[in-house]
Amino acid sequence: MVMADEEENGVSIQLEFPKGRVKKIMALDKDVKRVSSEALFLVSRSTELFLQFLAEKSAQVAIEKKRKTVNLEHIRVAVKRHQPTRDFLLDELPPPSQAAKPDKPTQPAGRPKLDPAPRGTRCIDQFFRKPEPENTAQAPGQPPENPAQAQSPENPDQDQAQSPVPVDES
Amino acid sequence: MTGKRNQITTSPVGSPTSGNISDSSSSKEQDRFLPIANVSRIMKRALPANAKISKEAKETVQECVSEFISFITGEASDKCQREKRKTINGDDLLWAMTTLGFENYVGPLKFYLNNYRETEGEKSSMAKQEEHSPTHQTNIDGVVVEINKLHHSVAATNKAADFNTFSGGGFYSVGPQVAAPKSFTEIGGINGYRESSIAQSAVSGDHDASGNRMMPPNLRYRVEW
Repeated sequence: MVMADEEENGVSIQLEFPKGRVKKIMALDKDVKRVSSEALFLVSRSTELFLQFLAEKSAQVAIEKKRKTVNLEHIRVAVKRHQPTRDFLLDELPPPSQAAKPDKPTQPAGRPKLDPAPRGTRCIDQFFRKPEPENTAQAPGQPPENPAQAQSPENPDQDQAQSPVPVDES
Repeated sequence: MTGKRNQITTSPVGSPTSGNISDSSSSKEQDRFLPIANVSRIMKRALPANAKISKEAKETVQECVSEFISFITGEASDKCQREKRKTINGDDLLWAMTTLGFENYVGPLKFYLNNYRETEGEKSSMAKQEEHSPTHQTNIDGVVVEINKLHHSVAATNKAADFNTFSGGGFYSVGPQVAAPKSFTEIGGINGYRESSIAQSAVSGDHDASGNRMMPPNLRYRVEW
């Protein structure tokens, strides 16, 4: 599978999103047990299609309102115009009253509405037990370098994300 | 080299997030979303050349995309449970997307899936071709093909006027033909786009810079594997 991943990146079938991160987001759901490599690939591709669709619709809204910068309101209108997207996203978007406020107050209000932290923590424990001690050890030891170290564990995550794939296919 | 570039790549991506959120929740926050550099890059590719995206919009889309993954995955997982299977496979996801109203995605995804399976089946031959052809040029060609297909898929659901508008912008090339001169044109176009973007906004420039830097380390890292 590692070879397949390598060839994927070399050839035109390059995935835009890191597989480990996509797999982590999928694993936030407790019921998700195992995911085949094809399923992980399809989720990455469908996410790219969805992102492109959302960006294009938001751009159309911005053009209709004669704006060059796409902002939160344009995304909201684009979401409302597409029924399937509206069904699962409209409640997740920040309320209009908060949209008028500065960026900082809006972010805490918007983000907690997604999956709650305890649920995510449990799922992460189930699927990635080894990386957690590393994060715990790193956090108190070197607080200033947290952003840098937060990125470096992606490599072992990708390793672990890739290792279950052969088992699934066998 | 790879290690150094990874470090360079990490700091721009991490600092904006840590600036907004406390360190303890920073790692969890990052893990629950896709990298904003990737999200930003795909968004810019889908927008007209002169369009800009506010930081708030990027972060909101970042959350929307994660919600989309959870939405599709949940539906596929429910189907597996009803059928008493433990592994989610590709067909479950295609079914979930059709059920949830994203049937437009099934056609392009089947195309990608066939390419994916062919790649697995032809590991040795593809490896040989990869060695001879330049990675950068191959990547650009792939991007062009991908853009054409994605745009064609989206255009099917859009009005003809919208299609003309996007094709007129010059950022997309209409038609399946991908020649060497075109790839050079695309390279020039992309560079010009990013330069104008950097000139217009410092923050946007930072994202562009991180986006640029992310690709080579990933490719080299994978090649080493």
